[in-house]
Amino acid sequence: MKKTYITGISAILFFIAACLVSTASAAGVPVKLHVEPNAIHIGATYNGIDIAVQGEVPDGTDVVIRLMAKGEHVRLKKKGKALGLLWMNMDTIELHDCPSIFMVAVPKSLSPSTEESRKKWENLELGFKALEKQVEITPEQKDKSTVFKEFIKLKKKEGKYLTYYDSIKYSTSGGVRKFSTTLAMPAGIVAGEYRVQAFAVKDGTVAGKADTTIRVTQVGLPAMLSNLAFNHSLLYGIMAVIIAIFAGLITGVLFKGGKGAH
Amino acid sequence: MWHLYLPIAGNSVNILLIFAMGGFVGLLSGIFGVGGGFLMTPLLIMAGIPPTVAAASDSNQIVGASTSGTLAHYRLGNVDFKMGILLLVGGVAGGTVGVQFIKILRQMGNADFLIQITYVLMLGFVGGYMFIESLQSMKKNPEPVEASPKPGKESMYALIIKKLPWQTRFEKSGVELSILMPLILGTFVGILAAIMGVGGGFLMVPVMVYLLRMPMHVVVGTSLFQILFTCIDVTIMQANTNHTVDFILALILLLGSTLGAQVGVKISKKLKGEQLKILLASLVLIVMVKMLFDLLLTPEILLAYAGGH
Repeated sequence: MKKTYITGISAILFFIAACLVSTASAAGVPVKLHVEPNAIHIGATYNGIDIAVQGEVPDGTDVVIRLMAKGEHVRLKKKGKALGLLWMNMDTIELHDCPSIFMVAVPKSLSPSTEESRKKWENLELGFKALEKQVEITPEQKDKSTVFKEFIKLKKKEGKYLTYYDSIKYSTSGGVRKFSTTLAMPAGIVAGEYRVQAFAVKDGTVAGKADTTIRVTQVGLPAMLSNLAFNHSLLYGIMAVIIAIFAGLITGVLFKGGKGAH
Repeated sequence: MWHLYLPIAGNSVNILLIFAMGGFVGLLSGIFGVGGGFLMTPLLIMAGIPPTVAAASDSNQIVGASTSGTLAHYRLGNVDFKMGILLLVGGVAGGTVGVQFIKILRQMGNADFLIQITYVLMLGFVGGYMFIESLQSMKKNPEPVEASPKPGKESMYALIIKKLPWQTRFEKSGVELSILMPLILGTFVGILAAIMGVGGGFLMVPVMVYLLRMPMHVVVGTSLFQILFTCIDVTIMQANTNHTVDFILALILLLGSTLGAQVGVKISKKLKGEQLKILLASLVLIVMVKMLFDLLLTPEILLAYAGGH
């Protein structure tokens, strides 16, 4: 009995130790990171959700929070002028290893209010500039930067690529700086794992970091319909048609009933 | 609280907004006998639905709306089943040819250019012709009579179609024609519709009015009957091969559009054939002008998501 008790305690201790290792970085200053919620269930009423991000860095360091989805392929059409007059979709390009969601919360000291802080931010390579380096575009583009800027515009419009300047709140006590911020997860997300990172920044460089994930799953009606649509697609198509016909017939009959009364 | 997450579209939408869009397009569908795909798809894209899902789910919605519309028009004696089936057979054949044609064009590149130019030209031509023609006949006679703006050409056309074999009488439409006519014209519309990626209602209606010389009210009913079958086919195909049919989205649109379609049919009954034609022509022209502006003005963002596969 006693033995089981001790095994239990050591298992808990081991678990806590493992957790600490996963949140604090292997090298650099200690960073604690916690997100709430860390699991999102997309049900029928899901319409985006605010993610509360909290944690601790040593006093005297700043923090940058980044939330991103896994990289994926994106097919896009470049708009160009045909016959030198008409704007239309021209060449197809493909972006590789490109996350569908990319959000960064930047502290005031790195916000582009002054030229100096803007440069500091760019040198950290945590924002869109770094993403641009990571993403490969095929076929190769002479004006990759311009193309990528347009892509960011497209994503911004959907609320999927965002930079929050000066949105991190700090409070310091006992040599520890607590931070908190909120990121708005948009409505248009798909199931999968989303990575949240906290970077401790000191003297213009990343001094430490921590990682965690948010797991997004579909539940209820959306999960059921996705399963049907992707795994039993013919049945799904036929069902969609039959229900549509019935809905049409019912409204037709209802309207006739209304007319008959007069 | 009025939001609903759509799993296939991968986004959440405002139910009331989608319902209202359905109602508006259904109303037009009931009045004019067009599927309304050329209006609904852009509206859905504006609401944040991916283009491929918007187009496919709209086809699903049209199945319901045109069932309701066909039923209502059938009660009024406005559906020429014989003509409708022949046009449908031609339409399916033409659609198959058109899809292959587009495939070849895509391989050669430049397909998008051709699609958009065809779209604008067809909208402009059809809308412009209908508008001028109905305006002239409205001025000439208060009662709609078979007007022939170009007598010389018209009689040539009449002579040719009279010489075609297998002449038969279409009771509901009150015309005598060769069965080849609806078959050939159906194929022609089918090809164009496949190229433009639309149901083809806005092309089929003028073809029935001017080339098959059917009365406007029968045209509307027959067109809806035909659209019903085209969209059943498209919905099942899209669901099965591309997984782009969002059934929940279609259902909300459907609730709006079936109600809209019933009201539309009632409005349609109150309007004269010429008035119907000129209204449809105006609608087509407005869409064309909007497309033309989109082509001429520098877009806000120089990238767009690629549709299809």
